[in-house]
Amino acid sequence: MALKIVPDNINLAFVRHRKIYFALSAVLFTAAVASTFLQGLNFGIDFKGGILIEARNKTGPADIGAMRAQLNALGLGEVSLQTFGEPNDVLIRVEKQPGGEKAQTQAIRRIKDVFSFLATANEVEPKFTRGQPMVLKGKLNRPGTTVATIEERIAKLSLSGVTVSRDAASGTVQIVLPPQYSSSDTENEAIDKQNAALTKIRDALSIVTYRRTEFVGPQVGKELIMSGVWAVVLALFGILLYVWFRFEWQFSVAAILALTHDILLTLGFFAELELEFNLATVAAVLTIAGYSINDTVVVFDRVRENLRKYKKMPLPELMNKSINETLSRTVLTSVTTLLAVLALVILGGQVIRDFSLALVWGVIIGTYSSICLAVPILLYFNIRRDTFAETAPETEGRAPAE
Amino acid sequence: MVHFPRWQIVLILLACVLGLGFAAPNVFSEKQVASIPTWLPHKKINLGLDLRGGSHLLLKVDVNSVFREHVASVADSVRGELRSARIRFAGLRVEGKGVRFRVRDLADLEKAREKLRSTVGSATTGSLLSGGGREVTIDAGADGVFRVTLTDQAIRARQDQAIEQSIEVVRRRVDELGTLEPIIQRQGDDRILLQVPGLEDPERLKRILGKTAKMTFHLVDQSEVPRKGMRPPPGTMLLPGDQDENQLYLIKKRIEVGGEDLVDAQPTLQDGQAVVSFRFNSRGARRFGNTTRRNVGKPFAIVLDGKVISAPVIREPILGGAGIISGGFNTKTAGDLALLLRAGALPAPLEPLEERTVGASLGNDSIRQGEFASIIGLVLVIVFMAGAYGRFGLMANVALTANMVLLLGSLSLLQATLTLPGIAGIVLTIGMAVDANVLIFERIREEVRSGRTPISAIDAGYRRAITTIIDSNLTTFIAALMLFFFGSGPIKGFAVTLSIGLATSMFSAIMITRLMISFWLRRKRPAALPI
Repeated sequence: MALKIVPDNINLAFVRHRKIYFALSAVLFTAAVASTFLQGLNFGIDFKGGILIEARNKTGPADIGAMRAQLNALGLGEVSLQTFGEPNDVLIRVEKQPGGEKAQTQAIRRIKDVFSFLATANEVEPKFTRGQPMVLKGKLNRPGTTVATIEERIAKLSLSGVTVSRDAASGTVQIVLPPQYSSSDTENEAIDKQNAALTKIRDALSIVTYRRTEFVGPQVGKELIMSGVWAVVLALFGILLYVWFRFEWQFSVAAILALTHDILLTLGFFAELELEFNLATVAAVLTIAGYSINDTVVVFDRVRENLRKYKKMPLPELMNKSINETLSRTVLTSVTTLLAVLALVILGGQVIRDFSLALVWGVIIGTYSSICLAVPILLYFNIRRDTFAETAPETEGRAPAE
Repeated sequence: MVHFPRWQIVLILLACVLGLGFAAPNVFSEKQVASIPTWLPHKKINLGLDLRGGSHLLLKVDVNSVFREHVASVADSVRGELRSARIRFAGLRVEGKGVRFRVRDLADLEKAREKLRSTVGSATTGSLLSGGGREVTIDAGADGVFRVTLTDQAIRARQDQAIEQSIEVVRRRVDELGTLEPIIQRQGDDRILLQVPGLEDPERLKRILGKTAKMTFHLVDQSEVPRKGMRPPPGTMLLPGDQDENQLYLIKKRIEVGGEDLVDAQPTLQDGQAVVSFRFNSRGARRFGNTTRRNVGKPFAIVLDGKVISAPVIREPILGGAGIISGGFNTKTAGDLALLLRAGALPAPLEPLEERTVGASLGNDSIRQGEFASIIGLVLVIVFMAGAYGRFGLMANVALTANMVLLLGSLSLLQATLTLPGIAGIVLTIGMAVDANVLIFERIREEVRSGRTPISAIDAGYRRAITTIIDSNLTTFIAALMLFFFGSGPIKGFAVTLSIGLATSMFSAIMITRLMISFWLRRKRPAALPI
């Protein structure tokens, strides 16, 4: 009544064809290493520092070309733009600005000015004083903008008593925002309301809305790389110890070889497809390691059991039998995991798309390496059967309780 | 394996009910949740900044400037003490971790040593309540060259204090932003992590943090009783109390001593009473001495950011630049006041190392997409499992659903922070959670093939699969643990959901599915297994 994906008595010659898999893996491995080191990883700002802004164009698809030209005119060094998920979402990356934190903040303000009808980066910021109006100053920006443009946009906000004026001599536009709170509001409530109104005005004057603004200093980046590397190394070491403790050293070496293969292939995947390599990627790498070792341990478990059960069976045959016996489970679990992760790739949104893609790749190579690498590698280590014989062979099923 | 004692059944069902109870608040709106009585689970999952929107700032406290000021204050004191003892000296300068100078007249050597030992040298690090070691070591050579060096312990204590103080200042200042609920934590040796949910304009936050708070000492005008709405006499101002806004003070505008002259404040015990001791630098000491000498018996107000922290009465002239504020403190309030006194201004510049702001719209989109992806993932897996294992697959699906409920319940109960990668962790858990059941079912199939009866096959299948399940889950758990310890922010969130997911999926696969199979076996007593 249930559908069988893998037939009961399947017997594929994984172990006999191991040289093919080894060769395939060697090629993939070399390609991955070459890609990682020659092409280089596309490090995100998490690791190399810099500014990242995700903006959404309010009026349909964003004109990336025009935006790029405007941003390049600011002279902020390397600026990259790409659409992000939807055609009206733009991801702007700007390299770290020379100078301290103030330089980064000022760069962010200047970038935001580009998309606003009112350039405020060079003006004094509005200040809150109870009972006093807030004054937002700036210069008209973007072609064809007049005071009327600004008035029109603010008028839509239904804020009370906002006035817009322009000083003819200096050209400075002044937006006066009277108190938007009542006298019974507490100080904090008043600040909240006034700031909310100011934010609304700023937002109304911009052709985009900001979905994300991030800045990471280079010092933090270095530390994040180090802690990422440590996490991966210690996880591998922990797994090595555990497998050694539960099995034999041969198993743990084979597992680590397979895992290293998976991790490097994942790095190669990122380098080749130029996916952004950030903190989430490190998490993806470790998750892949976790998934792959999970798969490997299941097959190892069966190898150990069969070593006890079939004392005379030649090792290649025994290993192949173990792989085939667990193949149905391996395939089923991979399919369910892939289904879930694919749902994430397709529906989970752009922010974690690279992360989810890495997981898809990881599930595939993790499954492959458990079957085609980890177990056949065991053949090359001299496994002593007697180590497992000490444990009494499993007694034939204690009488069922019912 | 097939038989369950009654208490086990009760425990399993109880766990499911509790999971459901703790997960339940998440389906209600904030308003509805607020009306749930407190004895019922009433906490929703705690969303990370990347999901709810807000600003995240990692600030570095410039401890080097703390150190430079520390050494400079030692130099200041040494100079002052030598002058007051009329010892002539030359070449006083900062060198390494301390100061060096030479006494002009070798005859003064012993006198200088004694003077310094009894003043600068007697200072201890930290507060008297917590004890502490010497602040400085004094070395004098026969050639008349003195070295007054800060101990490492003193440097460390001062830097720790600077960071605690910075955190306090940051907290006070963020409060100026309105009704936001900031999370402020110390991180590592010299960092402060500041998270402000709901704040989408970190520019303002950074401006506020960069501002210097002002602490000043004033005399209190006693010519009139302060009352709300009064017109303060010329040269005075009406200020509210820091603790109680309704307590008003009439304060003379003239600043007697500025907070920039305060070098230290510590909670201390005096005659069994908690008090706050404080110390000025030499300039502050002089001004403070003059003021107190002329105003014994009058209240003296300490004003921080336009609010009166305290207005103790001057009991006697305070000439040494160090004094004590008493006034019904307990150790906690004395500690707080000392902190506030020190916290007037930022002890060191704060430099933002990292800044991330997520708009509420992106956060909402992420939640929506994450939820949608989870539900579709769940449905796909459920359909697949039902197809692959029939009736047993349905039981696994019930367990999978229970697993989701338990996972959400645990996250709400532990108030672990759910981040966007955390949602990815949940989706991944959905895919991997059925693994334990797949292992068991495959094993049962094998046992059936080798000719066992249904009950015996199920029994053996469970028993043999369990070691594999534990081995494979523990190794995955090792990876998750490393993510937790080395990851930051969102990644930690991912590690948390992954680990909790591992635990709940093992429980649901091993206990819940098995319970269902056991009930089914007892009712139907099947001759063959539909697997």
